[in-house]
This record gives sequence, structure tokens and C-alpha cells, in this order.
Amino acid sequence: MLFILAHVAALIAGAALQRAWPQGLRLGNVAPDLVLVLVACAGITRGRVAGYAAGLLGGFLLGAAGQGHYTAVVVGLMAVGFLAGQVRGTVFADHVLVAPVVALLATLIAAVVQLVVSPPSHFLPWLGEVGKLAVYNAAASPLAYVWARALARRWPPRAEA
Amino acid sequence: MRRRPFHQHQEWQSLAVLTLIAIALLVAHHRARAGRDGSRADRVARAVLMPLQETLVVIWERSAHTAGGLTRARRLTQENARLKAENAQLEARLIQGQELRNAYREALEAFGLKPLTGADEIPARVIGSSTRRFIRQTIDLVSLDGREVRKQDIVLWNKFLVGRIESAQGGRARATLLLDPDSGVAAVVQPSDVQGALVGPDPGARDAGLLRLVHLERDAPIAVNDKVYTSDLGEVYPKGIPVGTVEEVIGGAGTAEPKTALVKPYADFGNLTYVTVFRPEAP
Repeated sequence: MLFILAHVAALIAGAALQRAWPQGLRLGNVAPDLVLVLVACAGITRGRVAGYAAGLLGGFLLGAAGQGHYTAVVVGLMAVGFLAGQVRGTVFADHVLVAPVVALLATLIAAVVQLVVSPPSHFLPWLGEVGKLAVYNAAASPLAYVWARALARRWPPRAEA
Repeated sequence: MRRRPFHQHQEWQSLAVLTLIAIALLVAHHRARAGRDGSRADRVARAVLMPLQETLVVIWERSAHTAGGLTRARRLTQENARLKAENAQLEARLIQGQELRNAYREALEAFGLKPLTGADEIPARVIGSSTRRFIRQTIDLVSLDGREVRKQDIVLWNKFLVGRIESAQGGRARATLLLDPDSGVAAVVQPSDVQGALVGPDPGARDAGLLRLVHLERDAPIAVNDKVYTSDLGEVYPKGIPVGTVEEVIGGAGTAEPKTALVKPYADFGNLTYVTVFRPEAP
């Protein structure tokens, strides 16, 4: 139960931090998608259901905060959480470098969902923005991954306990 | 046929329940979308996030201030002497400014107009903003003196138009910026008095910070550096709030494109830290 509270608290803090991200630390007006990174890390460390649930909560928080098209954000993050959960249990899942790779892919998956649900008016500039976001997310992901892995070690999933 | 292990059933049951919750949230949000406030669940989420954002912004500001102060410590003595001299000059300018303000008020009263008074102005701190260009452009703000902010109040930055409050809860609110693709402001160009609709920038344009003044006559006499103000045609904004200057005019007579003026807003949207919320008088 405590690990759920820890993940929920992290998602709330991540959503608030993402929205309040200082202008000076933005990369061409783009701030890292911390919620997406946290959802991906929850998926990697705890599996599909946890990733899916984290995606639902993260998408709901970002959608309510006005951070993107509501449906695209919720569906995109749930897809990210579920797919990141597929990585759990593989040989790479316990290596910190898996986080930037998954964060890059997660950004692309969320972008594809956005492209389908709420297509941007201009494709190429949008793609450039997605590229910047992917790099920024990858850079932010190791910290989130280390934190999520520490939680998973402190409170291992029931089958592994 | 081999039976599936129990834990797998449990997983798909959990996924199904979560999917149903997601659908319920989406339906509730889209049913409440017309009011821009979102569903009750959205409002609860914002009520949780905004105080946290406020705290984070204050922490960031204090950290930046402290770090800046430490790096400048050596220069403080010299700066102090320079500031004293500047202070004396500013005091003289303040007196001059007060005289100008009085003259401005007298001139407005002579024409039967009312100046923007401080009584309806609420100072506010920006505690969040959209982090990408291809999403809705909004800011979150919190009233600094605890006064209530209301939906449809107007947000100004140094007396220049920034946007409008779209949802509010007590002293905390979210405002749609002029940069939002859905933003629309009835505007008038001076000195030609041409009326038009000011809409959000083209997100794919080279300079995505330029607003577009559309619905103009093909031969409307608009020139670069003309000033753009709000007009009262839209019945949303009071007339006369400065918005920006015309940076470029495209299309119009002799071309296939409709006439459009690209307007550079006065407000520095990349640097919105403090704003003023202004409540216009009810008509």
C-alpha cells in the first residue's frame, strides 16, 4: 500500500513541477514531461497494471491541469504505462540505462497517440518539438528510474516478495 | 483447453476496471468541457496541484534569488552607491510621473472616459504555464492579496493584455493566453480605426509569438508599427487595452490571400512572473 502512496505522491509532485517548470530551464519553451517519465518508470519497475494505473492517474492530473488534449494525454500515458510494463522482467529492466531508452520510446508513443487523437496543425514544427521533448525526457529519466527501482526493492511486488 | 493461471485473470480484471475508470473520467470531462472548468474531478485535481505549484514557484524564486545574491556579493558595495544615485533620479521621475498621471486622468474625465482604477486590480503571481507550443496556451495564477479571482476577469501584464480567466477557485485561477489557438479578441488598429479579430498565432510560423489580426477589409489602411487595442465590439474586453504593434501585413488587395496583420504583443509571454487581474465593470 505504501508503494502506491509513494507513486501517487510522485505523480502529483511531478505534474505540479512540470506545470511550474521555470522558464529559464526550458529547452526552447519545452519542459520535460516528468509525468510521462514517472509513468514509464512505474511500468518498468512494477509491471503492466501498475504502469497502466499510473498512466491513468498521470493523464488525469495533466489533463485537469490543461497540459494538452485531455483524451490524448490520458490514452497516451495509459498506453505508455502498459507498454513500459512489458519491459519488466527482461534482462535489461534492472539497468539504469534502460530508462533513457524507454523514455525516448515512451515520448514517441505518446506523440503517436496525440497525432491520432488530436492531430497538430503543422506536422514538421510539431515533430521538432517532440524531438526536443524526447531528449529532455531521456535526460530526466535516470533519476526517476533510480527512485522507482528503490521503491520496487523496498516493497517488492507480491509474487517476488 | 488449459486454464489460465489465476493471477493473469486478476491482471486483466484490473486493466478492465482501470479502463472503465478512464472512460468515466473522459466522459465527465467532455460533458463539462463547454464551461472550460472541467468536471468536478478536474477541479479537485487542480485544487491539489495549484497549491503545490505555488510552493514550488516560491521555492524556485527564493533559490534563484539566494544563488544570484551569493554570486553578486562582491559587487554589492559598488552597486549600493550606484543605486543611491539612481534612487534620487527615480524619485524625481516618480514626481514627474504622478503629475502626468493626474493630467491623464483629467484628460480622460474631460472626454467622459473612466480610467482603469486600482480598486478592481488584483496582483497575482504566475504559478504554472503550458510547457509546449502545440497545446493550449494557459497560465495558472494565484492572487497575492487573497482576493477572489473570477471567471472572465482580464489578465494584464504592465497594463498590456495577456488573456482572460477561464476557470477560478477562490484566489487561484487558470487563464487562457492571447497565444492560445482558441483565443479571440475584438481589436481596433490605431490610427486608422480599422476593426478586426485578433486570434492566436500560427503555431507553425517562423515566429510563433505573433498574433494574427484577421477579418480585415482587403484594402484596410494598416501599416507596420500601427498600435492595436481591444475594442468593445466583442463585449468581452473593455475597449482601449493596449495589445501590441503591427509587425507585418500580409495578403490584401492585389493578392489571393485575405489581408492579415501580424501583431507583436506588448506582453512578454516568456517572462510572466507577476500579472494583474482586472475585473471590468458589468455592462
